[in-house]
Amino acid sequence: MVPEGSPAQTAVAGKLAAGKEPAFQTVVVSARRRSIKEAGIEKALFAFTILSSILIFLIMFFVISKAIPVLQANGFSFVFSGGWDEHFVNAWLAPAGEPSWRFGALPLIAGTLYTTAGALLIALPFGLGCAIFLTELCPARLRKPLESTVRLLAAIPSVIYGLVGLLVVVPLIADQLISNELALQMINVCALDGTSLLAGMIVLSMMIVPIFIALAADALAAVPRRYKEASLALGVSHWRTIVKVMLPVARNGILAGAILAAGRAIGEAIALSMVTGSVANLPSVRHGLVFFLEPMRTLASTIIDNAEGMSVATCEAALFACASFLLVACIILSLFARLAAGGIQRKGGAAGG
Amino acid sequence: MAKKRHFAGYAACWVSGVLTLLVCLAIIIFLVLKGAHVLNWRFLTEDPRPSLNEALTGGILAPLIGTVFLTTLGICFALPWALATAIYLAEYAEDTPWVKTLRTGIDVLAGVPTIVFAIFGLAIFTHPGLAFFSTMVEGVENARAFGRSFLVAAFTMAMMVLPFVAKSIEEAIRAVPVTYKEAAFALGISKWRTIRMVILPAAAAGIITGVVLGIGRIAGDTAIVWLCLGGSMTLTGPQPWWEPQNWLATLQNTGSTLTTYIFYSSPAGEGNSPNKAFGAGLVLIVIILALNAVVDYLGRFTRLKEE
Amino acid sequence: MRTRQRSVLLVAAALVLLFSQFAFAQEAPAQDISVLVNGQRLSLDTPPLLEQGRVLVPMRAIFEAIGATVDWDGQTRTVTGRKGDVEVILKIGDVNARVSGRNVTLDVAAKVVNDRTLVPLRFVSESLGAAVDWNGAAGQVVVNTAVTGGGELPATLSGTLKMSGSTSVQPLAEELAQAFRQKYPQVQITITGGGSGVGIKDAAAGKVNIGNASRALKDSDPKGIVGTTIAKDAVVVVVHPNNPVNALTKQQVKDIYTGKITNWQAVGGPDAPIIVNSRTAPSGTFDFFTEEFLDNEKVVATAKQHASNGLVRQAVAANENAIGFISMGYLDNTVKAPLMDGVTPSMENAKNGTYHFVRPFNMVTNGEPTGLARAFLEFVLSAEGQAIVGKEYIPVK
Repeated sequence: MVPEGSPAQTAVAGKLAAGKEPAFQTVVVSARRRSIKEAGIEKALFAFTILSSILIFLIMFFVISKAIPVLQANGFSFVFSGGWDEHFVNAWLAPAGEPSWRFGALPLIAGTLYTTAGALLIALPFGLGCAIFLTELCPARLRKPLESTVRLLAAIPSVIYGLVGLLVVVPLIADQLISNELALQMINVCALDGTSLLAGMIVLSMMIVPIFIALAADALAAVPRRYKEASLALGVSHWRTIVKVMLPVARNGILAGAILAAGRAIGEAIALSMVTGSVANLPSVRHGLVFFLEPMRTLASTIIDNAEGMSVATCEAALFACASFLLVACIILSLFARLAAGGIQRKGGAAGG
Repeated sequence: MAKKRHFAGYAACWVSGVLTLLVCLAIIIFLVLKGAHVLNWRFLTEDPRPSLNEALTGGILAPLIGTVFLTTLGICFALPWALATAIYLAEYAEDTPWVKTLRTGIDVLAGVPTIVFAIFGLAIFTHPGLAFFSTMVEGVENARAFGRSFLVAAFTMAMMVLPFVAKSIEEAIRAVPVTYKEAAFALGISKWRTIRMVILPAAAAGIITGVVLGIGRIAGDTAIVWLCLGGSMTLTGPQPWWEPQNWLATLQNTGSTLTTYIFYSSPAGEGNSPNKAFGAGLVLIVIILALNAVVDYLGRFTRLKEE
Repeated sequence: MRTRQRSVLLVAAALVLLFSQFAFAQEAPAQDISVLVNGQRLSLDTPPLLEQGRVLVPMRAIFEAIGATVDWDGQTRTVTGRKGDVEVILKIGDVNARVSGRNVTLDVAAKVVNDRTLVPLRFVSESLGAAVDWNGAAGQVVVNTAVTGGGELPATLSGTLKMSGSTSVQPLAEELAQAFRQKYPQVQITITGGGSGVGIKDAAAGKVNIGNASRALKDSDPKGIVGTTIAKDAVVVVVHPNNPVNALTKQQVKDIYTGKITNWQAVGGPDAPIIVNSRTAPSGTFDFFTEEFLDNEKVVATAKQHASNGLVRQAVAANENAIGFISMGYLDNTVKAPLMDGVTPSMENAKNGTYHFVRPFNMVTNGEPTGLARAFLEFVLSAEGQAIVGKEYIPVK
């Protein structure tokens, strides 16, 4: 494949020459010892890998075992009924002898799905566009600052995003989208004050877009240059090359990026608890576009908001039930991602061959 | 027709790119407007002091030191572990169902919300048998370990960043052209030596990127620090912490990082000093910018060396 | 003679009437008075009685709360309480009492009301070694049995002290710890947050020496913990500065928070919806608010549930129609505190008892505090510690 004396081979040969490889004659003598060493190294690496992998099972076991009492007591109604806030207060105030095990997390689960889906809807197109811009379109001079910008955005702690959301996005929504009449009309359903599903979606999308951009751009940059060059050489336009050649090849990495972004969106707690209104309200599609303006709360922000409740066994179990739902959601997400990625790999492999 | 579509595509990409830049600039300008006026030498060199009066709340020296401690320790725990995992998965693992399960486990770990890690870490490290990582509570019946310290937080952080660092290192290793490896094997070089001498150096830029990703996540995380390092604002180990006999004890005790300082001082916490929260946010961003600059420099350096 | 006798009788009767009137006025049941023993509200079937500036409470409740045994002799109408080697004997209607064989004269005698025997709170508590704080109209008597603040502090101390819990108590605890460390440089003190519930649970589980709670302890809290009330903190209702409403009553606040009033018009404001901001259930502030303002009724389901004082203040500052409640320390010019039942919510009024929406800050230990924890609590309750408390909170002494 590689022509003799290619830069790659020269580089490798150079590196090896720099190292102190034993003289050629001793290679045979030390082969056995070396193979033992090799096997040892492989075993050690394998042990580390097992340790990495086993962590998730430890966490799962721990979280779910703590959640089981609540899940057993409520069965499916934990998922399909609401009233979390009231239940939580009841459980919190219940006398020691008669604990209250009744919990319904529908608004929290739905809220998590809404914010995550909404944030992905905003973040994915933008992020993909930005990644293409970054790797293919942007002037060389702009690329470095842009890459740094994206890395910077990814590293800003969520509490700062929460602050920005609280001080900028929420008042903006309250002033521009919510009229006094609308708030009056809705007052018996929910309090409209700008903290809302929409604010959550916007802040969350700001938080996940840099992660997605970084990974999608990496995936695009990892597309072998010869693919692109071959396509361009065939007279295919740059845009068509991006859409027809580069994106399909990089789809694996892009998907991984999307999944990591979704995972972060599902698990984000602090920023969302600051901007979504912190009330276990289920936004209703029947209210039309007001749907987006209704306050709500996600599973993760419920854990942060109600963490003080952990001293009561029922509340603790309920919060661990929230945590276990988060975990299960993440696991399902990852499994789907692996399925999809596997499919693409096979397809990609066939095309490449 | 096709031209038009191209134009729309280009336009969309340009808009997304420029918008990202603008959002980032807007956040930074916002932080500067809100926080620049608290920044001065005293703010950086004084420890935080507890008070509801913002003028008396001191500076951010202890959180700054804490951030350095925690990121360094966290990466020290995570890097060897992640490197070993990545090398195994990229170079040794075969495509068996068993390995697939391992991979799945690590992938899934990447998606676990940090708040779950935080609860997990806190619960595990209060076990008296793991008291080395924090300290035992003195003078209490059925005493347990305190479960909150720099070591505990760093270890929990290492678990959290492990899949990210491992994944990015694995990708970097896989991105090393197969010809390098083939060339090395053709010369009869052993596998481990090939990895050590050829593949890892070639993947250095990617490994550094992974490390910086990890540092960024550690420096930017709030939930784990808040629960596993404790919400105390100052270093609670024996003073002065810089004397060698106090090093270990300092790490076995609690402190704060910039993120918990920001959380505590912002309206989300009880510290009641929002301007200082923005000031600390600004400092954190400057640190991250500096980190990025270092990485850029290193990246350029490795590329130059390869050429 | 006869007429004279009659007139004497008349005068006597009038005097008796007058005095009984007077006496009646003095012993009006003080419904507002609550009694905190070791951080836990004393649950009483008969409300405490205020007589000549002394508080009388049902005997069984107070003796048992202090950890004493109590015997009632119906024939001699005598109450005998024992704790350790201290014995307290009180007789109904008799101001002469005995403490471990020593005669003591009381201002107010024990008495029977509604078939319940009421005993003077301060006498009983202090005789049995507890410290009592009662500052007039503040409506809350604080009794600490474990630590009195009068103990001698050792010259030197060393070791480590771990605390966790309420984020409301944390700034105060840090300040106290700093002063304590200045006194005893060998001592290391670690204070972390987590919330009142976490502090109580950690203390009970032996994970910390002291757990901080910004609320009274409850029956549902783990058994075996002992609270020491170190300070009191006022809670105020706040609205947006542009809100024309300048005064609210407790009843109005209750109606707003339970959803009976949803428009500012009903309390003299503009025709606008009331955006209700509350705290999450486990917060100590919320606990106090539902008890004192809402009489334990439920907060309306549409209320926003915030995780901190700062977030409630931020939410109120950002919305002209919002209402919220915060710890007094967080009051600033971004929000406005309307008069509450005609009283200005100020630290001054909270300290002199005119503003009586105050809650306890408790430091919780697993069993009675020992060693370093005890020394720290003694310091906190000493004059020096309470002076630090008095800077931003209400001292208990």
